[in-house]
Amino acid sequence: MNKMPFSKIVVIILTAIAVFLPIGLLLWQSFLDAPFFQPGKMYGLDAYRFIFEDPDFKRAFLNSFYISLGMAFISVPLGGLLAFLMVRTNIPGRNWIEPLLLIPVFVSPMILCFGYTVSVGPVGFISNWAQMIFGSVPWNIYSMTSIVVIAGLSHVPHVYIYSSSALRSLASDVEEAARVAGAGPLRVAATVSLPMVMPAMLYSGVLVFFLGFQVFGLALVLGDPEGHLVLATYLYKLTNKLGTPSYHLMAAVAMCIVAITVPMVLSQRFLLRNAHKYITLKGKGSRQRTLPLGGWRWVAAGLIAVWLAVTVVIPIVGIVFRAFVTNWGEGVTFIEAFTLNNFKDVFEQSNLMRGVINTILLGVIGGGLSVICFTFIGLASHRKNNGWTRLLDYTVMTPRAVPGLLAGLAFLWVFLFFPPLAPFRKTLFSLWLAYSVVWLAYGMRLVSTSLLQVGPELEECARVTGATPGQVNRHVTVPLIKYGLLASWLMIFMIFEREYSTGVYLLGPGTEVIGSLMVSLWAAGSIDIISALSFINILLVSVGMGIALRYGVKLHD
Amino acid sequence: MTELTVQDLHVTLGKNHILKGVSMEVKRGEIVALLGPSGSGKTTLLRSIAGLELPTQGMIRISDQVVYNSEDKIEVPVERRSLGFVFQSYALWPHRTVFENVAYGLKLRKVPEAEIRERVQEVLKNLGLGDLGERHPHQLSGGQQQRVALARSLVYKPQVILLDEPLSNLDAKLREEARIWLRHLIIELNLSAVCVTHDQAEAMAMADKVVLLQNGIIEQAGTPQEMYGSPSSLFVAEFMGNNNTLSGRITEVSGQTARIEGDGWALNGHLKSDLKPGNLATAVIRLERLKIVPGAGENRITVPLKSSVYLGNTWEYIFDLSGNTLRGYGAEPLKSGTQQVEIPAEHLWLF
Repeated sequence: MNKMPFSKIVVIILTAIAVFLPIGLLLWQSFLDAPFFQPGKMYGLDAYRFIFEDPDFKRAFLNSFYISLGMAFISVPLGGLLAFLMVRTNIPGRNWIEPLLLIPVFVSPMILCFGYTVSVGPVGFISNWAQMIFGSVPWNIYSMTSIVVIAGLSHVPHVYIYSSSALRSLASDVEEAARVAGAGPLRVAATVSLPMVMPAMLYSGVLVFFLGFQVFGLALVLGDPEGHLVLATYLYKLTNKLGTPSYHLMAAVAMCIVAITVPMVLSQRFLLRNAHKYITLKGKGSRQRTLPLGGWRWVAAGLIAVWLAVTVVIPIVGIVFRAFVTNWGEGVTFIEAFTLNNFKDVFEQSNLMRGVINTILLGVIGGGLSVICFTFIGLASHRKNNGWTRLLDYTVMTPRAVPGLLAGLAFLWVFLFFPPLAPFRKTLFSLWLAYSVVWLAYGMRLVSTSLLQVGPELEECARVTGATPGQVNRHVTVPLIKYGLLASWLMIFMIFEREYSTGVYLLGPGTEVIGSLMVSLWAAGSIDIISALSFINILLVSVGMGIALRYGVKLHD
Repeated sequence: MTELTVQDLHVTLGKNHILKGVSMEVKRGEIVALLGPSGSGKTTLLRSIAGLELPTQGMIRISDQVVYNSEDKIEVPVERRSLGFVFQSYALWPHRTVFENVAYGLKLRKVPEAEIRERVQEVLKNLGLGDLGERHPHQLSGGQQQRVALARSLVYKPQVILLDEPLSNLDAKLREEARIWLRHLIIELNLSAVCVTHDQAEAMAMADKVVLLQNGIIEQAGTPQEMYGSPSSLFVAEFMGNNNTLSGRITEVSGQTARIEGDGWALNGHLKSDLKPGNLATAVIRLERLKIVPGAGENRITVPLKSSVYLGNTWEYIFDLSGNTLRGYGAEPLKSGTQQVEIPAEHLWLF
């Protein structure tokens, strides 16, 4: 029963090539002293020597480290608290708060940061009010502290997702047993509930920490004005700094980032094993009792409202507002400044218009194709456990350690210099492939969650009845996970709409998407068009969320 | 004619040696029950016959086709063994109607559309599911689901049908009816059947032959009468029925009978294993073999009654024999005090 058919091996090998070839190229390039396609290149550690001696690199590394640390310290306690309030207490409005909480996961950090600049930046809407009231603006959105705080707050949902699912799978009966044994509510929380969700919290802490090293858009928008670099923006600005594209230096920086994130992704794998240690399968009967908070429920709701206001409402309202005005400042009224010209500009400029259309195509058609590929990959290792599936495991996990910006760079090189692929460089195929690889781990989790819900006996029964393994997949397994796959398509659509960094290096005529256009427009400072594009992007993500809520698709597990 | 042969089968799952050399035969029209405690390997044996588990050693033959042989490296894939298999959970495909569930095996065998309709209708009618063809599995009761699962595995007329605890998801009353109905059906269709169960009463009611497994080997195989009436080991005796067990020391042996003495009692019994005077032994007697008698005599003991328990169809008496519990059945409640109990020597097995 454990023999691997040839077709499955092919799928696994193709997946491994798609993941490891670009990363391998980065690794190889980092040990060369000239671009890998140039004759006369030499092996050496010059690239590493250069960046390690560059004081900017050191500053960028330290900033990245501070951001990671700050994010972990802000988002883990807040995310855990939020999860507890949402899952285990009778806080008002739980049903409609939940989707709002997840907005920062589905809206690109670029957009949120544009939102912050236009609402609480030095001349932002809210800053202007503050100026009128206090005589000066009491905050500086471009300081390192602000960057860390905003990064922390916007990653609270990531922690929330893991902690809340751990809390949900914690049946009330273990807590009730402790109560019956004589423990008070606080003691139960300290000695039973908290230790049981600790592994999940730790897991999400590591997640947030390595996401901190991958921060790009946030640091690009908020760090630029005062020159705060992080590793990803340092890499992005290397070309400007030296005047010429220096492949080996970029690759060396990329490898430094990967060297930090890979061990953390691996440690997560270990933690995940522990994270499920305490999770007991709930029987039908065990319902979760919620803790009545009494008057405190309004205090708790207020706390969530403040977090939502700071993390979601201020930036989103700001950017949406900005999309409909010409300019803003003291003494300007909304009626005077109202305009639709920003959108007219977008629709009139062919590259921007293409960007909008490409973004939709990539999300809808590309997302669908990705789900089909993920399904094939999922089926290749379905109910198998051997060397091939272990290889696939590591293959799927690896892209998590590679930020989109680096993956985009690696794929650019692959498409530039790998002859059979060269004709596809200026097509959406290059973007689609890069997006699919970057989101491979996420997509595979969606698909394999569905696959695991198919009872093995349903497949075995088809085999005994006379179906070949291929027929079992076509007649039983895939039809049974149909709805799960449709839901995965929707989730991948939203993630592809949100993605911005993967397309940065692949940006060219024909491969524009909203996300990468915003990155390049930011350099030119055209905030009018950026606001309009942001609004369109938010609209696209909202359509996805609307469909998800309408049809009861779970936004997280 | 032998329909199914299993020879010296070994199966290893992960690090566990699940089957350690099992051999058995099933003749045409015969129903064999695989019985054993959980973890004994009975389901693994069934799944290996179907090809759902890969053995490490041995041979399996279905009709005259060798489907597995470790020496010749033969391993026929599951779908080409042409067996019927009824899963414990029934494994009905939830996305298909009853008709489509049953028709699937015929479709795979490229039977013409019209014939499929006819044959499916026929088997559904035979199993009392005639007008449920358009329903989906979740719209059926447990008993109906079980019959659909059976219809699905019978429709393409396999020679051998394998059943994995087919009745365990039915409630107690329905289960007793279903096992008789199932037995009649299999005999009527002249099929060979292998049925896994952990319920010894079900095994005896359904099967022509019972195979009792323990720790991956066959403890004993035989007709229900042999298994219940002359178990070859203490394990079989304990597994097949409800017993009184007493520990004592053998004092005398003559031929197949021996005398065993314990704390305050001495009885004659039938030797079931090689025991010598002075050996420690266990004496076993089925509860229903204990007789309440009016006076003293051969192989009779006097014991105080602890309590009488009313079970509806019978009374169960509980006696105290110097600290051990002795149980028996009777039609009337007994008065408290001491009673004379006869333990017939031919039914007292000494292991």
